[in-house]
Amino acid sequence: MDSIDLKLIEDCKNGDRRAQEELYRRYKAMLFGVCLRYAGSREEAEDFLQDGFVKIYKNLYQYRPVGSLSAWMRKVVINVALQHLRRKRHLFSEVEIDTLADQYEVEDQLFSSFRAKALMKMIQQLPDGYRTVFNLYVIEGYSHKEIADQLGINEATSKSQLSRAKSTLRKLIEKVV
Amino acid sequence: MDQEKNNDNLESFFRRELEHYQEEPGLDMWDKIAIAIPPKPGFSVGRMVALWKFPILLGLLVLSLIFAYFQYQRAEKLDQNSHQQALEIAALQQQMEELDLKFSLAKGKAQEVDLEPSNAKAKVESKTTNQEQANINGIQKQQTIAGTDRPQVQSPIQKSDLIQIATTISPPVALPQPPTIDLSEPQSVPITKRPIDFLHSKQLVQYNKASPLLTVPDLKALRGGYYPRFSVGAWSGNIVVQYYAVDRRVSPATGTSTSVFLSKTSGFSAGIHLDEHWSLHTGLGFRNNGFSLSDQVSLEYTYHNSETNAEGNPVGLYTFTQEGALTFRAQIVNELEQQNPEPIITEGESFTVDFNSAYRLRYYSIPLLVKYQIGQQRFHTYLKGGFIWNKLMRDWAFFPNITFSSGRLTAANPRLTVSAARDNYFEFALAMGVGYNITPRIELALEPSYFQAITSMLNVKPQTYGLRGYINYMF
Repeated sequence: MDSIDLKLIEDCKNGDRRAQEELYRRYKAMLFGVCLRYAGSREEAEDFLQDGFVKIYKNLYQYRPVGSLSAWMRKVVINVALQHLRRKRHLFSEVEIDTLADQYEVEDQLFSSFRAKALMKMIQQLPDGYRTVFNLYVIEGYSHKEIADQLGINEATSKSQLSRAKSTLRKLIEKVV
Repeated sequence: MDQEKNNDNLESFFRRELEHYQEEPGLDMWDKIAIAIPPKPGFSVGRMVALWKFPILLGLLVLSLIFAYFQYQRAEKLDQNSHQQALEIAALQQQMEELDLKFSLAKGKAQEVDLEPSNAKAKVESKTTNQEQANINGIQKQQTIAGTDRPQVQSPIQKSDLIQIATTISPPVALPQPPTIDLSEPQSVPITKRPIDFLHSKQLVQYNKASPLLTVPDLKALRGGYYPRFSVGAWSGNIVVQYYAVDRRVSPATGTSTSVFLSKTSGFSAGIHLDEHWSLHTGLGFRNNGFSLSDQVSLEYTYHNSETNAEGNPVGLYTFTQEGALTFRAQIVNELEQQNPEPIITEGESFTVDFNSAYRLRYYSIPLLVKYQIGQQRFHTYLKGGFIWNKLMRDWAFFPNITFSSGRLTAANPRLTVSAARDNYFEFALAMGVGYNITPRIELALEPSYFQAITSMLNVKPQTYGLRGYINYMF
């Protein structure tokens, strides 16, 4: 971390609105990408991002410059997303995979240069529980035990949700090719 | 895509595609955020604690140590006083034994001179007076009670000394049973009052049974009470600090008496989180136990001691023994009226005494508890267990009210020994609680708990159950 980042952080801690905007400008795309993975829609992702940045500004005094700022901010945003998702009911309800696959609208996006966007769309179509476990396990690299502790579920549930998420995604991919 | 779809590398495919995925949010996003964030970071307890956590913890530790040091000094002073008073008691007892011996000697000589001619008797008496009177302090052959050949003994021990004995704090060790002839000299009272003088001497602490007068509630039976405790705790990293504000126990007493057992505790505790599950807690607490009770005891007047006081009034003695050990003794001065020289209280007359007594115990305590938290969810459970060391700081007792069934009687200087409680007692503590984090920083917890004394507090090992409520603030 260079001295410019440190100065930026100190200014943000002191409530400097320009510094806060600069911090937002630097990290908004990366963090919004994270939010999109956890949200079921773009609108929900924007809610995550907004609450995530507010929390970042409030808790910047907890950040220690020994670690990566982006990793810390990413963690804060993921926690905010998980808090939102925990409030939802039926987070880990069972959903018929075939039904999900049928509901998916086949688009040509996969064959375009927006492949990642299409994959994101697939993930967003997953039920909240599937999507959350898939993100934590596959993208963030959490273990099932850590996911279980984080979400207040048992490991078996985490494993079954991941399995169903992957099955669903395979079916969705088969659907579009 | 086909290749990636068909192999089992779905996870790596998604990870590679989405791990660093970026997308621009809406243009108005910053405006929304700018409205939502506070203009400037105001004063925040959490913020201040995060910045100053180590100085704060160090300060708390230093304050606790200073407090503990002064309490220790105070307890030491009490111990020294107790030791000094114990020495004085021993000296007095030795003096009593000597008096008893001298009394026997004097009596023997008196019997001896009865066999001598009158001039020889006068000579011996004169010799005794000249040679021994100075050494035999306080022994005065004043008069002989009718029906006995026992002389009246004037004790050299002043009343203030006996009061000192009665209020002495001494270690609960077995002491030899003192002779029963050394009764205090009662105060002069109006002719219409019949004083009764309670003398709970050291017998109360010598034996394992409580005096019938000081009916200590059966603390083993004191179950089912509740004692809510509200605590504010805080931790930073692996450190936990908790402040206990209130801890009150209310339990009904059982037995013949009606009483209330109260206990208030306050203090600090601190702990170290060894990992996400295990934590170790200790601290310094202060516990005020107190109970009051009302009881009734029946006394039967026995005029067996055959002694009189300085005014010539007969002094009766009520003695209660239990399993062969003297546990309670009352002195009854049966003052004679000038118009009616016969004793008003007659042999075998019984009467009842109703009294209220209060007992106070003050301890400081140091717990050592291990806590195991099951899970890290918002709603979680935990187990806690360990030991609590309680050190007696002070104990005292008093009779706020005593009444007699006979209006002719009144109490004079009721007092009792206050050293029945042990200096130290240990408790085993076990608790199982449920916690709920209303925010990541604030935890509410309900904790059913159980305490079992390993060593006796009074003459029993109290057991206590309860439900505690906690509010923990984490930083």
